[in-house]
Amino acid sequence: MTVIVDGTNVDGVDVSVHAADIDAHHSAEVARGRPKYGATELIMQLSGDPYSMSTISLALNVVHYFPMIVHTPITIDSFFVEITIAGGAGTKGRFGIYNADTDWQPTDLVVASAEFAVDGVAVVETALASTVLQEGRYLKAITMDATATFTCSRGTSKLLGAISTLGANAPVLGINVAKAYAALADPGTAWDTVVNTALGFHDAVWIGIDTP
Amino acid sequence: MLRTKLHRHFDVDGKELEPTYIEVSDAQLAEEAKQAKRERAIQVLEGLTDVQLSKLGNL
Repeated sequence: MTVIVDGTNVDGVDVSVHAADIDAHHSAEVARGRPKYGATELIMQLSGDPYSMSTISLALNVVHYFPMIVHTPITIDSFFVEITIAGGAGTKGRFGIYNADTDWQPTDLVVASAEFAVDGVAVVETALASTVLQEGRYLKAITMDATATFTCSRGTSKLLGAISTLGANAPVLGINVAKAYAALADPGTAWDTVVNTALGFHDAVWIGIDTP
Repeated sequence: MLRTKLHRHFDVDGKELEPTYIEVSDAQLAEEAKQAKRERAIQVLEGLTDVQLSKLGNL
C-alpha cells in the first residue's frame, strides 16, 4: 500500500506533478478561482452563466437577493456594481453575503460592506474585508435608501430560473423582501416576494475574487 | 475612439477613494445604448393590456 505524505510516497518518489495534473483536471470540472490574464483579473457573479446583459431598477427599502454557488473555497475582497440611473444626492447602499439554507433563505451574514454611494452614474467598486467562502450556497444581498438602476446579467441562476407552475407563467426574475434601509440584519431577513418576467433571473452584483 | 466611464472606489470603511476611469469604445457605448432601448421597449410591451397587445398584433 502506498501512503502519500507531503507530495511524496513512501518510496520517496515526487508525486506533486501528478497532484498538479489532478488539480488542473479538477479545476476544469468545477468553477474555481477567477479568469485572469497577465495582471488583469475578471470579476464574476458566481450565480450561473449570463444569458444576456441588461439593466434593472432596484427599489429602495427592499433587500434584493441574488443566489450564488461556490464550488471550492475562494477568498473575496470586493464587489462591483454599475449604476446607470442614479439615486438622489447623498443616497447610499449596502451589500452583504449570507449563507443560504436548503430553502435558499438567508441565515448568517458572512460579510457586509460599508455604505457605498448610489448617487452618481458610475461603476462602483467597494472593498470587502478579505473573506473566505467555503463551498456552498449563498445569497448576495443589496439594499438602498433610493431607487437606482443597475447593469445586470439576465438568466444567471440555474436554480431560480424556475417557474412555480407550467403554462404562461413567467420565470423568476428576482427575490426580495421589503425592509427599511439599514445595516443588513444578522441573521438575514427571509425573502417573501418573487418577481416574475419572461426575462429570467437578474443579477446586478459582481464579486472580486482574490484567491485562488 | 475610446471614451471613459467613471469608476468610483470605496474602501472597507466606506471612505471614497480617488476615482479612476475605464476606457470603453464607441462600439461598446453604442451597444449599451441599443440594449437600453431594447429593455425599455420590453418594459413598455409588458405594461400593455391584452386588448392593447391584440390591437398591436392586428397592425
